[in-house]
Amino acid sequence: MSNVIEVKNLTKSYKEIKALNDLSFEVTEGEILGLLGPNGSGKSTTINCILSLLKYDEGSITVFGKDMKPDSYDIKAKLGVVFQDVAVFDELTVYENIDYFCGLYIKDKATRKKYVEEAIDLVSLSEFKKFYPKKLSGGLLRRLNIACGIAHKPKLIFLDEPTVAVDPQSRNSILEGIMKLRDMGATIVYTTHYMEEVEMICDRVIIIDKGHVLASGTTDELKRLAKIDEKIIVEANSFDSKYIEEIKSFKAVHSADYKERVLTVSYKEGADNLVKIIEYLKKNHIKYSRVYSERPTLNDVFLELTGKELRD
Amino acid sequence: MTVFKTFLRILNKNKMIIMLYTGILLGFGALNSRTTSQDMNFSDTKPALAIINDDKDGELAKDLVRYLDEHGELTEYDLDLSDSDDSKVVDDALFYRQIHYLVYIPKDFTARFMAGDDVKLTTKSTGDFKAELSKMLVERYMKTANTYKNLDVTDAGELVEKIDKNIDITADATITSKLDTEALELAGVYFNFESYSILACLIYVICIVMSVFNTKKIKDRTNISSMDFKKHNTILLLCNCMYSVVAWAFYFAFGYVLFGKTIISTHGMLFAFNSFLFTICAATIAFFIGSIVSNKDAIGGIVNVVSLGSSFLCGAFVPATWLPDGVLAIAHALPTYYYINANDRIKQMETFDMTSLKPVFIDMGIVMAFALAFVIMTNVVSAKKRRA
Repeated sequence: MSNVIEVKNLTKSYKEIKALNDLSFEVTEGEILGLLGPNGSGKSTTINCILSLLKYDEGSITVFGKDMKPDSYDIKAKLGVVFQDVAVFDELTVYENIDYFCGLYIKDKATRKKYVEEAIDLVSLSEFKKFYPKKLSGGLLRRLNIACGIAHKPKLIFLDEPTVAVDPQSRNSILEGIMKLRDMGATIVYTTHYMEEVEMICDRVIIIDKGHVLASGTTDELKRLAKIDEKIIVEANSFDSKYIEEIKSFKAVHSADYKERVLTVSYKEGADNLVKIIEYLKKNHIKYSRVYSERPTLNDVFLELTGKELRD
Repeated sequence: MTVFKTFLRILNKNKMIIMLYTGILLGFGALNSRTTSQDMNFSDTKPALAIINDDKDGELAKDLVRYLDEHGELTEYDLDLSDSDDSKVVDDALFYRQIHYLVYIPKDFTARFMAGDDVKLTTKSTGDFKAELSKMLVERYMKTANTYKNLDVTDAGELVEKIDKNIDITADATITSKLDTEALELAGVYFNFESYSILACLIYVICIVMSVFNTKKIKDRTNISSMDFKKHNTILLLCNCMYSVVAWAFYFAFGYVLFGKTIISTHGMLFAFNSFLFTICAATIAFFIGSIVSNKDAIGGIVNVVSLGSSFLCGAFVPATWLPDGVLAIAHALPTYYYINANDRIKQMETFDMTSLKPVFIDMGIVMAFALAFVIMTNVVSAKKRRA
């Protein structure tokens, strides 16, 4: 598989603030690459630089093996972008909006009509074709936003936090649609700060913070960086600190932390950890509402790498 | 076609406000031309004169009174100017503009004049133009009298006879111009006002439509598309020009309703052609403003500043000849000035040869040069804004 995007030593500053700091990564053909990072980490800036919407100070960007410039219309013909903010005309209906943005790429009327219908089907907006954006719910608007970005069947799609402020049903529909696009042969760059989404759809993940790459790899590869194998979560209204100290001394415990009525016990390795914790709770007559085991998440990786949480 | 269709759809979505704005401005232009008085005809005017005649039996004095009565609204006072109360009566009449000029004919005026004395008439005046007119009448009479006196006319009766015979000899003057000056003047006012109404209308409508296309995210989406940015801009410019031509056609049709034959005369066609070129220029100005302003709330203010400002400075409402030099110097930097200048030249044209048409075409050329400059400026600004 060849590289569709190659970003090398990209640097971009806004006055005193360095938004991107020597950022380098590649995107391979046919994959969904997740760009994961907290708000302000440089995800959108990276995408805007790749799209030539922003000038950058240093570094190089090649897309489909060519330097990306504002007038690289041959490259742009293969790109599709779904912006974080909904970018549609309030004056046009759902169909007219998709038709307009598709029309910026596809000249042939019949082909365009077919593509527009397919995009509408993909995001399940068939019932709302004649609706104006103001009549759509937030979730439907997001789906329209996606359809406008992908109707022309691009080979490389940028999705910049497309599920922000979307209800769970619409979110699932959007994520399924994205996977369908990948299966149809598109390469996707997906930025988000929702780690669950990344784990669900991304083939590879790059974790960004303060404009540079902290780590990259598949979700499993990244989770290994977290240095924990299992987390036991105990939900309890109160927890005496002496018990927390005792738990910390258990074999293989990496950390134990009680916060907001939740005790999180992290284990370096996992075998019968849940059973041991339940037995301890029983033995000490500690009341709890729920106890369960969890695999480490990308948030744990981020926490391990930066000392802060993704959503901080 | 996609961009064009979308342009029309956005226009359609805003049709009520656009029609309202277009209608009000164009109607206002028509109303203005109907209510503006630009009377260029001359009419005789008679000053209010007063006379105190202390030489009632003198033939020359009587004839002077008769002459002034014939050419003015004459009031005879029986007053004594040396008396302060009587003098106050005269001063009050002058102050309240009941009279503009007072002539005092002293005692034995005729006899002394015929004897060759240098007799002076005492006068009082309000100092305005009607007083000046009165003064002219008196001076004309006395000059004529002096002329015949110097020709050795010694009898007062004969002198008066000669004065009366010659003082009002008139020459007939015929205006050979076939221009319907009144109709052209009104048409000129109508088309000069267009510099305001068309500019305001186009800036308003084009900025409304362009603000939609220039919404940050929609602009970004367009910029990352494979459609050439210059092509996209050109299509939008042509769409705006198309709307502008429609607005111009309305204004022209309105003009036809108001002025009929004048509009389809050679003068009218030149007015129309000039206004067409100005409309294109106005469209480019509006397109330029539309490309730098994306805030809909700011549009109203910009419309007023640009259209009213340039129209005031360039003589759309007040004739340019009345404007101070400083204002006119600024006006030279605006296309409206050349448009109005061309209109003013057109309405005064008697013949349509190259000598008279050349300055009009130069003004039109300058307006088009402004249009080209605004297109270039729009492209430069848009290209800069394309990549932050």
